[in-house]
Amino acid sequence: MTQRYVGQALKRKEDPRLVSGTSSYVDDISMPGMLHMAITRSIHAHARIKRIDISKAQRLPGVHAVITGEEVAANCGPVPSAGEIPNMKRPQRYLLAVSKVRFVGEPIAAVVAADKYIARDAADFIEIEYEPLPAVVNPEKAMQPGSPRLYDEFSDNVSYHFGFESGNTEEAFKSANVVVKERFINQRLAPIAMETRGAVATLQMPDNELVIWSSTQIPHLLRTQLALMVRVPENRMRVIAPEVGGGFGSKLNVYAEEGLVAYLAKKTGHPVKWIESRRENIAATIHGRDQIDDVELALKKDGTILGMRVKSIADLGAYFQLLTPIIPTLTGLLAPGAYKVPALKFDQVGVLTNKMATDAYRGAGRPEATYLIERIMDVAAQKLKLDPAELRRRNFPRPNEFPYKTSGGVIYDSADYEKALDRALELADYKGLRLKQAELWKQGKYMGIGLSSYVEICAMGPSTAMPAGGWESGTVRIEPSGKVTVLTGASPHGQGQETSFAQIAADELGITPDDVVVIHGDTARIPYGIGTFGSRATAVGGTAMFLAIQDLKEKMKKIAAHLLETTPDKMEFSPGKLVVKGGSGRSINYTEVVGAAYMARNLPPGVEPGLEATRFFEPSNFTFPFGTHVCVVELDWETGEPKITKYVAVDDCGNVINPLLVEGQVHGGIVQGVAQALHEEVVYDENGQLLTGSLMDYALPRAHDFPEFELDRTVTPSPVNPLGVKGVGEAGTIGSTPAVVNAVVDALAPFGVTHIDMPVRSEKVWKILKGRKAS
Amino acid sequence: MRIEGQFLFDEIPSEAVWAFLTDATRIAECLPGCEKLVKTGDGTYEMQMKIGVGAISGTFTGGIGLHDLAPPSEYQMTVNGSGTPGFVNGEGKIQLTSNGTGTVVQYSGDVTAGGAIASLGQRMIGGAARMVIDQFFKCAAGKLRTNAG
Repeated sequence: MTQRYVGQALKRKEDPRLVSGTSSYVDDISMPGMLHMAITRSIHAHARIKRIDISKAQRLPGVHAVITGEEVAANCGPVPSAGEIPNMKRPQRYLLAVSKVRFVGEPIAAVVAADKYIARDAADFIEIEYEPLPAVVNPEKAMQPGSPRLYDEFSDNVSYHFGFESGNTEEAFKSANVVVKERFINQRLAPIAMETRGAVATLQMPDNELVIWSSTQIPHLLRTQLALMVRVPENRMRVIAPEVGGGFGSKLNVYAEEGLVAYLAKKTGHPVKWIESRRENIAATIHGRDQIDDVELALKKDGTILGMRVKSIADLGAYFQLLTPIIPTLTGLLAPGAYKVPALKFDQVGVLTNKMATDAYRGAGRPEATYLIERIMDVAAQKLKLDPAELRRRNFPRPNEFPYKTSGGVIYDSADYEKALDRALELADYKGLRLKQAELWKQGKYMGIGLSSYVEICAMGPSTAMPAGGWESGTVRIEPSGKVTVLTGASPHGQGQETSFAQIAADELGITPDDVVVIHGDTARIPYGIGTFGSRATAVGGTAMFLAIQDLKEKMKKIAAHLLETTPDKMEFSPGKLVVKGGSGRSINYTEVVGAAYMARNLPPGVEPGLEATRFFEPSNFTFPFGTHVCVVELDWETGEPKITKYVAVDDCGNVINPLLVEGQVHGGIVQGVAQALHEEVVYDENGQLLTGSLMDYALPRAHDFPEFELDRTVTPSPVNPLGVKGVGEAGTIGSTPAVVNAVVDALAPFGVTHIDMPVRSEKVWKILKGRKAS
Repeated sequence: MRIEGQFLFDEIPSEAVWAFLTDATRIAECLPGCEKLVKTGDGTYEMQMKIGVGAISGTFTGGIGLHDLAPPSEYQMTVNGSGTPGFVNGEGKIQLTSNGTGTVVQYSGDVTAGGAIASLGQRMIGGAARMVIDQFFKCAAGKLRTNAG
C-alpha cells in the first residue's frame, strides 16, 4: 500500500475543538441535582486519629452527607495496588483514613453538599483530634533499625528488596583499570497535568447504571477496580474519560477520590462531582522519581566497560498507588543504557516514608536509569580523560548485534546508536563547540557541553511483564457508507491518536483521514482495553487497529474478487478502489465493495455480512527507542544561572506516523526533563510537611528558559510490531535530564567539579563559582 | 523555624512590662486578630485568634502556657494552635532587661507549622510573626505609656 498520509505532518484533528474551547472536560459536566464533594485532609504527616467530630459540618445547611473512614472501610474495598515482589510488605489503605494518617494531604473525611463552597466550608468544620507521631521522611533514616515505623503490622519500613546479578561483577571490578563511583539522586517530582484530577458519578436511569466520568488514562482498568471498590457489578457500571488535559502517568491510577464520588452517588442518589484543586494536586496526586542510586562502574584503560554495580533506594511514600512498587524496578532493567555492560549487579530497596506515594511519572523508572548511566559515563570520561562522545561510541553494541540481550535482562529490539550520536554531534557542530568552549574558558566564561545517548523501554508491553495485561484492543467498523469508525482501548489524553490512527487507517483502506473517526475513552462504546501510558498507544493500540483492518481487507478482497470473478490473492487496495493486480486495469470501487458487504445479496460462500473486526494485540517484546541529545549551557558569572543556549535532539522512535506529533512529544518531553535537571523538586520538611504546596514554590519551567530546539531523527524500524513503530511519549524526558546536568558539570570542570545534584538551581552554581578558583 | 527579636519599652520599668505581658486581659487588648483569651489555670490560657499569612487565613484555637516564671526578668511560653489552615506550635523564651529607664524585651523561640499554612506560608511565617509581635509590643507600649501618663 502506498503511504499517502503516514509520515505526513498533518495537523491534529483534535485541535479545533481544543483551541476553540468547545471540548468538554470533567469539570464541564453539570447535571440537575448534582452535589459537590470536598475532602478533609490530614495536616499531619504521621498521627493517630483520636476523635473526629462531624456534627458541625452535618448541621451546615446544604450538606447532604458526611462520611469518614469507618463507613467506607465497612462498605468499600481498599484502594488497589498491583505488582508482586517476593516478600513485599504491601500497605492496605481505604478510601478514607481509618485510625491513622500517614502523609500530609491524606483524605480523612468527605462531604457532599449543594454547592462546592458549602462543601468546602463543611469540610473545614470537621474537627479532628490528632495524636502526632514522629514523621519518617528521609528514606535512609527510615531503613535504619529503630526508626519509627509507619505500620505497626510491619517489622520495619522496608517494603521490598529487588535485585539481580548478571555476569560476574566481582571479577569485572577486580580486573578493572579504573573504577568510578558516584551517588545520583533523582529528586521527587510532581507531574502537574494542566487539568487536575476530577470525577463525576451518577446513577443513570432507566436501570441505575453507575456512570463515572473521570480524568483518567485507563477507563477500563478504572471500571474494573471501581467495581471492586464500591461493590457494583462491572456490567452495571460505565466509565467515561472525556477530554483529558494531560496525565503524564499521574492518571494511570485508581484514586480514593474516584471511589468516593462513586460511593457517594450511590449513597445519596444524586450526581456527585469532585474537582481537585491545584493544592490537592500537588499534595495528593502521585509523585514521581525520588530515588537514590549509588553507582560504580568498572572500565579498562581504553574505556571498555567491564561491569557496573548499582545500589538503589526507592522512596515509595506512605501507601501504594496502582504501580508504586513496580516503577522503581524498571531502573534495574534499563541500568546498562545503550552500552555493553557485561556484568551488572543491581540491588534496590523500596522504603515506606510519610509522604505521598510515588508512581508513574513520564519516563517512570527509566529516567532514573538513564540519569545514572549517562552521568557515570561522563564521570568515567573525565577520569579517563576521554571525550564523552568517544567513550560512548566505544561501548555501543553494533547494529548487527541486535536483537541484543542486555545484562539488565531485556532484549533490545533494534538500534544504530552510533548513527544517532553522529547525527547529533554533526547537527550541534560538536567539534566547533569544543573549540569555542576552550576559547571561552580562557576568557573566564563557563560554557559546558552535555551529551546523553539514551535508550528507553516503550510499547508496554508484553503481558508477562505487566500487572494488568500488556495487550491492547482495536475495533474497526467500516460503515455502509464507507466511512470508518475506529474504537481504540488506548485512551489518549493529549497524544493525538485521533489523527495518527486515522492516517494509518486511511492509507490501509485507500481513503482519507477525514473519512475516519477514532473513538476512545468510554467503556460502553469500546471493547475492553488497557490505556495510554508507557509510550504504548501506537505500537500496541495502533497495531491492534492495524490487524483489525487487515481482517477487513481480507474480507473485502474476497468480496471484490467474487464480484470481479477472480481470486482474492489477485486483489489489492488502491486509493478509492480495489484493483486486480497485473495491470489489467480491472477494478471495483471501495464503496461498492462496502455496499456489497452490507446488502449481502451476492457474497461469496462462507463470507458473513458486515464489515467490523476487533483484534487484541499482544506484543512479543517491548520496543527500545534511542537517540542522542546535546545540551549547551552557559553559566552566568553574577547569578550562577545555567542558561541553555543550544539544544539538539536526535531521536529514533522507529517509523513515524506523524512527524508533527513526534516533534510535539519531543518538545514537551525535553521541557519536562530539563525542568527536573534545573527547577522542579517536591520538598517536605523534617516533620513531613509539604513545603512546595503551590505553584509559587514548585518551580515549573517557562518558555523563556529554552532556546529553539534543533531536532532530527534517525529511523530504525522495530521488528516487534508490523507498523515498525517504537514510541516517543517519554523519550524527551528520559534523554534530556542527564544531557543538561552533564553540560553543567562540564562547564564547572575547571573548578574540579565532578558532580552536582538536581535541581541545578542558580544558587548551587553561584556558590561554586564564588567559592573556588578555576584551574 | 526560629523566630527571634527584641523590642524596647522606652521609659517603662520592667515590673510594668512584666505585669502587662502576663495579664491575659491586657494581652488580648493588644494581640492582633485575638478573638478570645481567657485564663484557664495558673499560667494557662485558652485562645482564639484569626491569622492570615499570604493566601492562607483562618481562625486558630488553642492554648498558651506560661512557665518557669522568674519575675520580672524571664519566662518561657508554649503556644499550641490549630484551625482550618493547619496548626502552629511554638516554644519560646522571653527575657526582660532594664536599660536604666526602660526595658528591653528579647524573645526567641522555635515554631513548627503543619497543613496548608506550612505548604504555602512556611517561609512567610517568620515575617508574619514578626509583624504581629511588633504590632503587639507597640500597642502594649502605647497602653503602658497612657497608664503611666
